[in-house]
Amino acid sequence: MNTKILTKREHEVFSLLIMNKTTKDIAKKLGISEKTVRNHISNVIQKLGVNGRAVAVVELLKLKEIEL
Amino acid sequence: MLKRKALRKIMITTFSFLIVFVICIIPEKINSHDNYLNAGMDIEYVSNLGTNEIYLLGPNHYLVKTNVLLEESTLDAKIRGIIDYLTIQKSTKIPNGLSGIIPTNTKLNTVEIKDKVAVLDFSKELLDISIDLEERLIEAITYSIINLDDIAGITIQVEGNRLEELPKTKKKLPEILDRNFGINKVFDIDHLDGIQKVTLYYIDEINNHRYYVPVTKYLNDDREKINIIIDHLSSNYIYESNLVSLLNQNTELINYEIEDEIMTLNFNHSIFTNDKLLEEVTYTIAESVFDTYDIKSVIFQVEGENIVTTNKS
Repeated sequence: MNTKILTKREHEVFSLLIMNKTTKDIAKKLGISEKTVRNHISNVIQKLGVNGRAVAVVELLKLKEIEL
Repeated sequence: MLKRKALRKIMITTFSFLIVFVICIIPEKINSHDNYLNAGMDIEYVSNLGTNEIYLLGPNHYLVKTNVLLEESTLDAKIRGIIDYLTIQKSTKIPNGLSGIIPTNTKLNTVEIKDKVAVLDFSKELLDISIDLEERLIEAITYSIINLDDIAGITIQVEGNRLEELPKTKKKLPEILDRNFGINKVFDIDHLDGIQKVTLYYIDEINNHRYYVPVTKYLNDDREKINIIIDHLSSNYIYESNLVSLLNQNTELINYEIEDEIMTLNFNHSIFTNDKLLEEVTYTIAESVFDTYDIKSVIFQVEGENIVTTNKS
């Protein structure tokens, strides 16, 4: 059973988000559009059932999906 | 009549002298023996016991740091000794008010050590843990074992399979558990700016005995971590019910320097309590630094004058 919550791309996006990178920075770093970055973020927010990026980051830290 | 009294006095005196003589002379005779133990001589105790720091569960469900005695034999035996202390009802030697956290009847099947990582294989009873303690369980095992010299991390297995997630909440676990896992974790994040984590040492009083309690805090603060440590500890912040810091509120870190794995912290006079730098204060600051930085010694200065140095144990 796959227990991963984040896809590889979502993981990359949130690993940069936790480093306080902006959507623009993340898009540039990953070579994707800002809209795609926002889509990844909102997908994760929806998956976790939370209401914002910061809460999503807290949940992902608690779930050990991302590390500081 | 007088003669009898005089005779009696003479006998009592003679008998008393005899007793004093025996007390004085006999030990001297014993002392003249080559093998007698003189208090001034160094006494070599033949013992294999050593002290180790482990993390036991306190009444408020925090893991508290405490010292226990362990046989100084092989690393394998030390690990097994620690696991015994951590297993509920397995050890009778743990301090009052504290308890083990590994479920009763859990067995440590095997221990393998490779490249400073200990792979601990437990029986399935390890999974019989309540939802509110399952993360503490992993933290207690991890922090207690990595305190041993030559162990940098651990991997937990159950009946031969790596424990990839917490038993109840199914939160993921990293393959190698170390200090990065955190302990007694607190999340205080409300936005994405400057997310950092620091481990702070507080004091908890349990049954009139003081224990140190590490708390890993995730917070929004983009300052250097040493400033966060001093700020949080000097706020005298009582975290939830019992945890306190004895660092005075007006304490200021004037400056700091890191060189050759030594951190020098220069404080103002407010760090003193009744003209003394409390051991609890230096300990909580130094341990917080050791957990956060790759530092071996902390030098405490007050207005530029060296007061005390604390080395990593």
